[in-house]
Amino acid sequence: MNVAPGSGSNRLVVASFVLVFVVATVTFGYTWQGQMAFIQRDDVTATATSAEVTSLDDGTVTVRIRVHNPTSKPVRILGGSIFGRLDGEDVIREGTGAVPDERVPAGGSRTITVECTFVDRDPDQETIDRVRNGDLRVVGLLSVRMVDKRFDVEVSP
Amino acid sequence: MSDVDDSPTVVDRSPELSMTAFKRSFRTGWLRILSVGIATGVVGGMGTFSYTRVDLSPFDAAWLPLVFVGLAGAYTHLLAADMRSGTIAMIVGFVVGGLTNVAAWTSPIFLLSYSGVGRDLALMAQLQQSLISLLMVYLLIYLGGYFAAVTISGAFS
Repeated sequence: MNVAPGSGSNRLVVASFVLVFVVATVTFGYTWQGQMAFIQRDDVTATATSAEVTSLDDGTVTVRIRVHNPTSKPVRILGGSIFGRLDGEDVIREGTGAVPDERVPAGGSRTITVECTFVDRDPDQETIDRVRNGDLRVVGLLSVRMVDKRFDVEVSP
Repeated sequence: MSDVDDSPTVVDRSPELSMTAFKRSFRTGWLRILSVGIATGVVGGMGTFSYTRVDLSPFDAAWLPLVFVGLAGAYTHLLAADMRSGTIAMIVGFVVGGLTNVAAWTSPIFLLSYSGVGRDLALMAQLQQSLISLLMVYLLIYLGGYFAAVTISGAFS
């Protein structure tokens, strides 16, 4: 193997360097684009759009959350915790495994459906009526992933 | 242009004689040193960024971008015309790689519409990341690749 200086005149050495250069540039381009999107992660928003009482027997409330991702990389929703509050008191929260695994494309939006249950197994009629009226303030955190980096998105009512 | 090129008496020019100053410089002179230094430095700087931000890179293998950095150092020696021009190319490459890395970290801040104190804070945070990756990764791996190539080629010369 010729590794002496001047072996740069060797076409194979030059060709292999060109290959390294191209692969390194492509890798860098992808990573840099990811960094660009990751810096803008605060622009990813989650807004609760509706909360409906779906079953009184099971005490379930279906919450819809619209996730908007204006960045240049898709994000995947991994999980999260969702609460519905009346006068600052938790009335509903998400059921086990209720936050669906959903991919939100770059520059796009997705609406996810989260099945929640009443914290109090036997809610009084006034609470149910207020939830039906749309008085519920839905808050929480969604755990999302961009490429392999995780961050949280706050759910706003 | 050399005297030979301007001479009207030479009809059948050999490739060696008709070589322009540009080509000759590219073979052994400053142009060769600068292009080798810039090209390997850019690969080293890009590789260091991709390694530090591996969670956003297309690879699961964290060490893979490190290979580019080490190879960039080694190619500085391999592509240089001789030992002395190799050392100069390494110095050029080291500086160029450092600047490439700083540019990679800070460019999103300039491209995104940050302003005022927010921009200064973001810029400082990126510069800090850049400096750490230069000291912990680039310094060791780029120079390590270069010195490995020098040592091996010296031992077998």
